[in-house]
Amino acid sequence: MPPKTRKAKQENDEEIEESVEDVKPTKLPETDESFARKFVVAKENTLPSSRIIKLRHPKEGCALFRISEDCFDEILAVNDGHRSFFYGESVISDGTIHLFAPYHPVFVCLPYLQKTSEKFVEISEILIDEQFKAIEELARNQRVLKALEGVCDVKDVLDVQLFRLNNEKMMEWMRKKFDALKKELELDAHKTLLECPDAFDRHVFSFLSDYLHPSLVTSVRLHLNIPEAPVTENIDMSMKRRAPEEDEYENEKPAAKKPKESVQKKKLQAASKGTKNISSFFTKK
Amino acid sequence: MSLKCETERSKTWQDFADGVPCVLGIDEAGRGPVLGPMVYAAAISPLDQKEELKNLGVDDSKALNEARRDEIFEKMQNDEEVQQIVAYAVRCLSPELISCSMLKRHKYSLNEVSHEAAITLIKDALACNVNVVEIKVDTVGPKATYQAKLEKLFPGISIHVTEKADSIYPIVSAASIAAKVTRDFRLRNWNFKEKNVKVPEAGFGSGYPGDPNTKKFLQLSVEPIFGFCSLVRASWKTASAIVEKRCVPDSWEDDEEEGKPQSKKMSGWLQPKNEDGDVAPKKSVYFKDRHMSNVLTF
Repeated sequence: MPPKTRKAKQENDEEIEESVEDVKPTKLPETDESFARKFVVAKENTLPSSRIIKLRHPKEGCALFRISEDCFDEILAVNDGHRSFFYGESVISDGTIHLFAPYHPVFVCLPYLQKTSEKFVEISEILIDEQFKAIEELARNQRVLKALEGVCDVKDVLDVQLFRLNNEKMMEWMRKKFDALKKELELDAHKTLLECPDAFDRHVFSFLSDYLHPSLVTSVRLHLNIPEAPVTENIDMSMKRRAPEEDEYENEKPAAKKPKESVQKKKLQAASKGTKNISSFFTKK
Repeated sequence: MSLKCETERSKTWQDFADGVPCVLGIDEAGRGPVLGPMVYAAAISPLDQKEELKNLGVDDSKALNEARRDEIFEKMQNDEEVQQIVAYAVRCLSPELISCSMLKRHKYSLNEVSHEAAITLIKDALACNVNVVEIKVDTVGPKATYQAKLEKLFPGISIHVTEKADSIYPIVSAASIAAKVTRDFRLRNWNFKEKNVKVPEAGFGSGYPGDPNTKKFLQLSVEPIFGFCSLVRASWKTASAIVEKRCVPDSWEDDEEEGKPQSKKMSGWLQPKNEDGDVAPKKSVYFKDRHMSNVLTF
């Protein structure tokens, strides 16, 4: 084919564009709600007679939980925003997987139990919340009541059960939870994080803090003896160099200390690559 | 075809000419098109059969048209006498393989892909006991770098990398014929593995982005969700421009890394809120890393 001049080529292109514009791309099928599905991961055979309730979340705000005679789970949504499902002959555009993750009911109850530190109270008086009435369901749940015995003193008075939070018992319980959690996270953790026991403990505690009211976090951290983060961990990961003015004077300080810190810093940085600065969870309130 | 690439050898390639010193030429076909495979071919011929090689007509680039190429290649494939003079091997890189290499996390440029194909062919000849004494190659990318790369890999062999090698060296012309005819055949006889691919009445053309039939085919066949069929090199700008224009908008997890704008629907994901003013808790690093959050509705 003889080479086309630029003008001729452009005209030709436009012609093609025009004729092709008539050929619209295939229309997408209309959304059909009858194909809508939710995907849930839950313990086998536990879905029947479950209820989904909204409760005050011990950490902050509120969230949905699943409760049944045998189960109490936090409902977690897993989705990075870029997923869909192929389901039979349909596509479910929402790629969220819902996890019914087992959640110890004591965590939810603890903030309510705090008000019984002095005296024994009936459970129906403890688990009460104007804003989130569903907490009353836990008061009726045998499994929950049994679980509360792990952190409370219980007194039976005239066929009525009374509960009083026992701080020592609770701390013991926290210790057990922490140790069990630590064992599990060890299987998952990055090698360099495991090499630094203090940082790893902080990592485990940060996970546990998600289950605790902020007021409880301080006392539990103290009881578990979680070491404070050293100053070097507070350095913003994005900062590559210190300001020149500071450097002049820092050079006078013991040089021996520096290499150790930077090696540790490198290890910690490597371990927490891509994660939020851990020490941000321990800022003084 | 797909992601595998195998070396296909002609009848006399293995142990060619009983180890007599040979020249090896390499050329490719189908580098520029947006459709179909790219084919790399190597041709070998004994040094003492230069005349016989020329007499096949591989030399005469002015006379070489599609019909003539087909004729010569047919002899290379089937004529016993010709097979003593020249043997060849080809490597067919599918459109998918080309696109994948260019789009992976560790990107391989088309030049790197080309070099790799050429090198594999040379190694194959050596492994098949061909006594390669000279190599003639058409340039791909910077000439000096390519030459140095080859000299390092194949010491003791006389190597020449030049532009228009197919006009200068008959052996490269022979390789060029093998590559072109193979490519044309595979393109013409393409078997769509996808169902119901829309092809215009006039066919999909030569596969070059400037070919109006090819353009029409691209516009017509693109699927709004899945993009192009495997005949198309998705990594080509021609193709991706059409996807941009005619496919549903998409977002990918690594758009963030590549600095592309984020899709709006991700905002508010990390801390769900609802109309009642309820707020779900912010999650710790463990959960955030795994894109896990509490929910307020189910």
